[in-house]
Amino acid sequence: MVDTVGDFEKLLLLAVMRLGDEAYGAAIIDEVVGRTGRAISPGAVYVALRRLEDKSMLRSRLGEPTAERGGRPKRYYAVRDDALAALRASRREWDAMADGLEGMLETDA
Amino acid sequence: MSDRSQRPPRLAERILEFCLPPRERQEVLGDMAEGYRRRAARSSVLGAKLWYWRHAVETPARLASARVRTGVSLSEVRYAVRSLTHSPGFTAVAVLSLGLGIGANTAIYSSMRALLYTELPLDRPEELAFIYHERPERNSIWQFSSGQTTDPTTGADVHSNMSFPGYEALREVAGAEVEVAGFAFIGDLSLAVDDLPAAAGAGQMVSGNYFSTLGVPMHLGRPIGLGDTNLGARNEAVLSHAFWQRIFSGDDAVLNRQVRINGQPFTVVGVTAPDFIGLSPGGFFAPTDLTVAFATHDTLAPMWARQEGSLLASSKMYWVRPIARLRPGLWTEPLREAMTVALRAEMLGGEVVEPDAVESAHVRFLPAGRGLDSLRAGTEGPLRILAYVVGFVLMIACMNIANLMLARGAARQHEIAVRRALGAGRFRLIRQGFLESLFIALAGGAAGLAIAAVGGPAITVALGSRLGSVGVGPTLDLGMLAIAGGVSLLAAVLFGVLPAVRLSRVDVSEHLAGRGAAGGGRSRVGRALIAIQIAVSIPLIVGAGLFLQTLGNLGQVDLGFQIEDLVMFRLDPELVTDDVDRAHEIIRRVVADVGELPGVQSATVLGNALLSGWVSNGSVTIDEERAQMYWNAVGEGTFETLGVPLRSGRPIRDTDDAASPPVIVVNETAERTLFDGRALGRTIRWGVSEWEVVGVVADTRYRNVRSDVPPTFFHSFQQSSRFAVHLMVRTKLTLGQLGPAIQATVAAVDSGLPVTGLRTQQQQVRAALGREMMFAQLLAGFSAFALLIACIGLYGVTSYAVTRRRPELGVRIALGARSPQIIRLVVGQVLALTSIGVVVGVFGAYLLGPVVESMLYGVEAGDTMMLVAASLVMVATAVAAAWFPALRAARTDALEVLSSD
Repeated sequence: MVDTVGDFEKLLLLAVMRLGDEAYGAAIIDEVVGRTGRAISPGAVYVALRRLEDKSMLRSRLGEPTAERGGRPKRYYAVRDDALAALRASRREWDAMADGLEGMLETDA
Repeated sequence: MSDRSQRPPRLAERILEFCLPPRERQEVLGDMAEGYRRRAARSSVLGAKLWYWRHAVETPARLASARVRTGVSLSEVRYAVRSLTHSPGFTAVAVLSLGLGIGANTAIYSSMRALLYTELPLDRPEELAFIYHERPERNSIWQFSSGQTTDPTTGADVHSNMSFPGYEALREVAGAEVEVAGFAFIGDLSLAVDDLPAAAGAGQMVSGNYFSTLGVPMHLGRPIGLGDTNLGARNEAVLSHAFWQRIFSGDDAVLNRQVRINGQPFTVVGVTAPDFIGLSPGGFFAPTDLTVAFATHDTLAPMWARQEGSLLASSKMYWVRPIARLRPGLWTEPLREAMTVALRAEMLGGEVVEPDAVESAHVRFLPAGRGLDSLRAGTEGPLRILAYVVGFVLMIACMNIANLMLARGAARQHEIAVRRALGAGRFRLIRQGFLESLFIALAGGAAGLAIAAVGGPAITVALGSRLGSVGVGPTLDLGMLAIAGGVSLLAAVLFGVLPAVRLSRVDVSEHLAGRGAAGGGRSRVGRALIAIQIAVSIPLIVGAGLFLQTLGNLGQVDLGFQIEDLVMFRLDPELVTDDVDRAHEIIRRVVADVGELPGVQSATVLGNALLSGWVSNGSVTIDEERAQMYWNAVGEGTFETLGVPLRSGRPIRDTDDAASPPVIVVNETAERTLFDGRALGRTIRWGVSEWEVVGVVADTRYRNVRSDVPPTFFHSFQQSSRFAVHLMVRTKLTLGQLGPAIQATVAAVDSGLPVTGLRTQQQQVRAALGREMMFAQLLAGFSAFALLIACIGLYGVTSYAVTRRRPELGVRIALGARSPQIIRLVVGQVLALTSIGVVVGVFGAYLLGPVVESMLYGVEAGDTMMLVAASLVMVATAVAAAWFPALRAARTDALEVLSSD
């Protein structure tokens, strides 16, 4: 049984995957904002990241403090297998439901 | 870009740092700093600052709310409940003490509001004013209800009653601008419908414009018609909603029905709205059952009129209570002065005051919006004291909760440290403390609501009746419930969370290794709380002692007659006849017939019931000298029935009637103080006659239990124009057994004659001692409660102190300290704490003394013995509370303690 994830959580998981070794708070926010154009608030991101950790979809580690951040460390995130399973399941459901509707769902981009 | 603009706003960063949970603190600050720099570089510094500020506030809020939402899991709730049920003693004490504090406050304040602060259900009640007046003490005014009160602003005695011509003069002065209406209470009405037995009721006579001036809400029909010159229409009656329900079962067809009031036919023209029960909602005057017009005064109040010609023309009879509607913005001072001039002219014209004294007459406006009872000094004082008392109780309850929570938190130090060490988050622990406090506060609030719901109406009725009013059921004061509940909730949650917050900051490893000193602060707070709690308890204990002593003293008072096996009721022949001879005939027949009833030993007549607060008094002339005396009407066998010994001469007999020479019997006090010890054969002038003293009886208390026996004489009811009397019946039967037979007997004599005020003399005495009884009971109950929770608090603090000092105690024992020394050490510390509280408390009790002084009897508020006794009780309680922890300390196993460290 695979845990499901919400839309916002999916965005964050995908951002973490894209960023690889450089997936930490500020970078994740930038990635989502830069790619989707969505205005997201840091608070919401932290809450969702904690939740994903609680659901065992993310793991995190604290990095070393860096000078450019006022001596504050970064918390780096990485996706766990559960997240991949959930994303795959979500993708399957989407594809199954969208099958045959490609014409209508086509976007300008 | 300058270096300064690279850094986020300092203040916002501080706030953010402070608000963030420690786990997230560093990384979020870092991310936010980075975000700020990017924004400052990309767009503007101002935009970046705004962005930072916004999220500095929003981010911690989101994190916190997410924790509360998702964080409080069912398992945590279950854990909190389990932890509370595992210490049922703690939970019960906490919930009960909170419940009692909240409940008692809500109930008392609801009652206070009902009795003092509720506005009458009239049109814009705040505009209404009673027109009172000050008047010279020496006057020859006649009146049948005193209507006297104290002007709260000047402290002067003021009177409500005016003569009818005086009332008319005030109306004239007021002109068209200001409406002035008048009313007068009339008691003991007999109301008969068709062939049903007569029902007793009370009511008011009003001017024709009374309803329109006050804006009395109607339920059915219309108010009384204006009639001629505002006297109101004759023979029209408006019923109260309650009376209508009681007598007519709420039948709409009541309108235009004929009813007989004191034998006179009236037409029911309307029913007032349910919430209007007259201008004495606190019930000092009986609720208004029916309202009739001034025009009917000659038929409904014939006795008043008999005294001094026409009631409407008399300038000596003061009986109308004027009430005015003062429109907002009206400048009342010129009106008041004009009315004063009119009042003085009226008093001079009526020759009720001396010309040189008339200058001391002044008209005063008193607020009428809350009715007459709010003006009564006798109601507010005791209620205020009760409010203080329950306020103290709530304070004690809150401090106790705080203390219990702190003690419990301290006792769980180790548990919390272990849980933290095992990975429980700081917030999780604080949340746990919060949840438990919340449950306790909620349960306490529920208990308080229950106590208030059950106790509130009961207290109002008890207060009302014991303060001399009939009482009305209050609605629960939800505002007060919210305040009391809120305060308790705050105390519980604050002191429930505090230990968790403090402990969660403590370095776990340090604590587990060395049993760190986290409790030092808690101990100080706890000790202060206990000392305050003791200080607040002392006045309660002293108060309880004072009122118990007062009650005891009053119980010891020799009343001078036998109160046991005595039943009484009131009989008013005026309701069915205005002929004195006929009235006396009715009284004689009822006495004879009741005396014949099975189980009745004797029955007799007494004018004013003893200890009822009703007395007759005035001046008489003895040997050309004026003297103040009290009097009462009696009949054949009155002294025998009451058990009052005859000292010399003879009692009053049936043969002492209107045809025979006027005679009186005096009491011993009168003989001693007014007749130089030899009263027999002497005469007094009272009214227009000379009265010969034919007998002397032993003293009896008259007005109430407290007042000294006044010089009193007793005359035959047949030798006066007195109508209403009390029948005193000596019997072994109960009220329930005898009541129906009495009703039937009286109805057989005249079916229009109601039996009112049926009660036993013992009930009368209890009612007379009601206020003292109420204070004694409530204060005793509350101080027992205060003692109990102070005891629990002390036990908690001592227990905790002993636990914390185990290593020290172990060392002492290892060095040779013996059990008694250890016990002395522990108990001594508790005593030191108690002493501080006691000293402050005794001082407080001493300061509060004057508040209750006037209600005490045979004991002074500052009574040294009482203060000492209260202190000793408190100290004894403290020692008892400290004893078991001290014993445990003395049994400390030195080896075990020392090796465990």
